[in-house]
Amino acid sequence: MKISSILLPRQFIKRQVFLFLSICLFLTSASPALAQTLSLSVWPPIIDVVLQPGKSISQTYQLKNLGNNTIITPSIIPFQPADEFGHIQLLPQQAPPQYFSLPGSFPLKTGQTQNVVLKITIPETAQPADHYLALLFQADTKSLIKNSGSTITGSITSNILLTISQPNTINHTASIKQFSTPKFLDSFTSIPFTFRLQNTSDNHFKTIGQINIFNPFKQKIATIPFREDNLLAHSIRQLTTQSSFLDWNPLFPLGKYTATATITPQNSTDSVSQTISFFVFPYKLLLALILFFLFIKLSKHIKLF
Amino acid sequence: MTKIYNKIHQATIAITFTILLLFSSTSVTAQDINPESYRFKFSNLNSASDISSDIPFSNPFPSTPINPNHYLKTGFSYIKTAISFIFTISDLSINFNTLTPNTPSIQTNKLTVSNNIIGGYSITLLANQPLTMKNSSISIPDITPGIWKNNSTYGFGYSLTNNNYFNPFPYTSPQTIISSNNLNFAETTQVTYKVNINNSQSIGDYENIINFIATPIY
Repeated sequence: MKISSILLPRQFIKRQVFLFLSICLFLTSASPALAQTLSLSVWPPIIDVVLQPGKSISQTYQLKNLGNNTIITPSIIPFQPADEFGHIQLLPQQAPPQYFSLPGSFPLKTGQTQNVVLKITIPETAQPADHYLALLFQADTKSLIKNSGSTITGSITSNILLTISQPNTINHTASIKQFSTPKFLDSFTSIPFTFRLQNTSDNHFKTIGQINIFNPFKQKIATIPFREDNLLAHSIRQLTTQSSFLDWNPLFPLGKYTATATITPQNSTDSVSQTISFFVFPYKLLLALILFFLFIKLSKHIKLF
Repeated sequence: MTKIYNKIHQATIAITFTILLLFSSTSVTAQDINPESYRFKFSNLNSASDISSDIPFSNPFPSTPINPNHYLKTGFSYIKTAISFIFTISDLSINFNTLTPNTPSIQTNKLTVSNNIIGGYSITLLANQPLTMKNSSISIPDITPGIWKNNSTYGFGYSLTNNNYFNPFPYTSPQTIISSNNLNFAETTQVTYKVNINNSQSIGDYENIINFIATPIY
């Protein structure tokens, strides 16, 4: 037996082991080329605060990172209503009142939850007023741009409705701007209502109220509660129900109905209400029957000729 | 002897491919939203409490009745369960690579807002500047709002629809691009970014920063 034939198996096994280890090393060291993602969760999405001058309060926010490692910078930005549906318009050019203290920037790793404490301190000299602000968490995640491109950053906000007032001075008042439904409705369709409420006071409140519906015999047959939305000072909001629609779906209504909408502003005993009436009958069915009989009659008429 | 070598060689290749398969199949799911993120366990999320001067509000159980003169309420009064607001951007790096005249470069990513049973949200957009050459003030012009299909149209813009309607990016104040009042668990919007340069555009790398802000309704 030649010497080379004895050594060959050892060399061969060494080569195989080297190949195996090299591939394992490559697989464990190479980082996967995945897209950088941002995913932030914040709770609570809103706080409603009423404070007297000279008082302070703290709220703990839970911020969770469901995306890649990032750095979070909290800040406060004023906002105003963007429309009548509760959406906000941020006002970054406006300086927020100096009532808020927040931590500085902090790293937030993947899967990590961070408690962020917001402290609100109202000075003794603060004037009674409402302030609407967004607590903004700006995420700064490492970019992977090569050559030309756009680095995407994201922020998530939680809203703050702050009322500064002296004891027993808040007086919520409201005015109904619109309460309507089509005057004539079909018995086989839902009855849509539109209800727009204006806050005529200097402080926000929750819209607590309902629509009561009465049949032609003046009996109350349905109640549609409004969703308790926040109505900001001197703004208008279109109210809905919990399902985001303001509809009534009765089983074959017929005749003249009346609907009374009533709102009692939060912490108030003064209600505002408005009543409308509407007629419901199956006009689509009647129209179809008339057309059907006309068709039959015309058919017979045509056959005669 | 040669047969034994061949068998050992085949076995090594088989083991290597098996490991390769195992490694490659595990990296796909890493960046998605963890379902556990929806399981926030708080005892009372929509609570209210009286407060005293400088007392941290950490106890979710109100020990005293609400005083209308001073209180703090968290969450929406019409939602009785634990609802956090979640915003996800699928890709933070929009790479156009090397720009070539008359050859549009198009990239996309997705914006998702979850837990929208609170009743609505909006997303605003603000860019720090036009696509601008590194260490220079030379920039790519904004696109004029409208349908953009032609390769001889030049500029930089974004689209939220499938009909090639593109808008320029806002640079001075945040612009609301999405408003929703749907009660869906999650809503996703695809954003398309498009850039096209002409032959006179200076050669170089262009960049900017685009910020999306997700806000719940009030």
